[in-house]
Amino acid sequence: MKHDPDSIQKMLRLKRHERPPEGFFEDFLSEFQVRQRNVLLREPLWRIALDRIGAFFTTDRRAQWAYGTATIAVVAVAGYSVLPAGGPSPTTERVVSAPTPAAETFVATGPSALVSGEFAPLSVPGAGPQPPGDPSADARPHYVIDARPVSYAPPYRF
Amino acid sequence: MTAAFAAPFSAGFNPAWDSAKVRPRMEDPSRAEDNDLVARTQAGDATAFDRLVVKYSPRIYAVVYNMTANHEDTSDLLQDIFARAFRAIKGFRGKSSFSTWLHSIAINFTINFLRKRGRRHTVSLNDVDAGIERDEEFIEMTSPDTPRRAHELREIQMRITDAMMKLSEDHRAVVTLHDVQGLSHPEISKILGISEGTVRSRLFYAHQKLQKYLNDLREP
Repeated sequence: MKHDPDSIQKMLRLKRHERPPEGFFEDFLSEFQVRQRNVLLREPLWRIALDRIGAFFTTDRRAQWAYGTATIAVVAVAGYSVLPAGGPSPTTERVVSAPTPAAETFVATGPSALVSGEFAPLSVPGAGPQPPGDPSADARPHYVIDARPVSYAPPYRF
Repeated sequence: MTAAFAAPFSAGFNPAWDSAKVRPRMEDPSRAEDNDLVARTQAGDATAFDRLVVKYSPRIYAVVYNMTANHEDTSDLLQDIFARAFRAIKGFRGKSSFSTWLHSIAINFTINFLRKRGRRHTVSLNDVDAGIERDEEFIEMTSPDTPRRAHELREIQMRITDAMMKLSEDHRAVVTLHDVQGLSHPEISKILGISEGTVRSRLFYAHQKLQKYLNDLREP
């Protein structure tokens, strides 16, 4: 079968004369506008916002660079304002470097000490010199009762 | 001096070609108008897009109708195509013409629709304008008797439409854009995103197929 593209193309060109029903294009624009409005009314707000943001950042690259730079600047300023001026705070230093206060041992000064509450610090042999009064060691002394209470002491001696 | 004057010509200098390179190309007035309307749409002027819709709806209708052969499907698709174009127009950079861009959206939308729909379809024939009465090919194919001619016109339309629908979507697209719309091979290659060689080969294959389907229409 001999291929005759010219005759085929002539036949196909007849299709250029085909038209939709009369008035179709006159009504098309108004129908399109109504449909667009309905779509916008039905669309959720987050989707419209997403479309707008996406369109904004795809239109102008200068806007992208400007907003990127502005975001970095805002983050940098916010970060700098959170950090305190002049280095770490004194309270931080005290908390970090404060030594644990030496535990002081107290013994009852006499039988009546337990009643009256009189206790004196006990110097334990081998414990080393007690550190001088450290103004930072304001912690409460820890009481360790080594001596046996009077009530437990045997009433007699052999 | 004569030798110096002749030297550029002897070296292959072509004044006509090089002067065309130097002279700025005049922009197509239609394309300039489209660019202006697109810029205004991107700036927020919705009436500018309305003008683009009015300008391109007949052309896009023809493309879609020749792909689907159904008026109702074409009408729905036309709405979707322009809605998609409106949403995407902010990202239109002008690397191609607006016409090429819009045709590309139309073809992609239509091919996706046809592939989802499958082979089942109902053909609805459109009316024809009065210009067909003066078309030489039409006159050659039909009888001089006017009532009979009208009947034969419908028959020819049906046969051509049926033959087109037997082609694959890709082949139908190149036939629609080239033979019905009158677009060139470079334009079609940009619209479809294929090489010009592929456009030519698809056209050749499609014409062979249509020749087989429509052969009896050419017989006396």
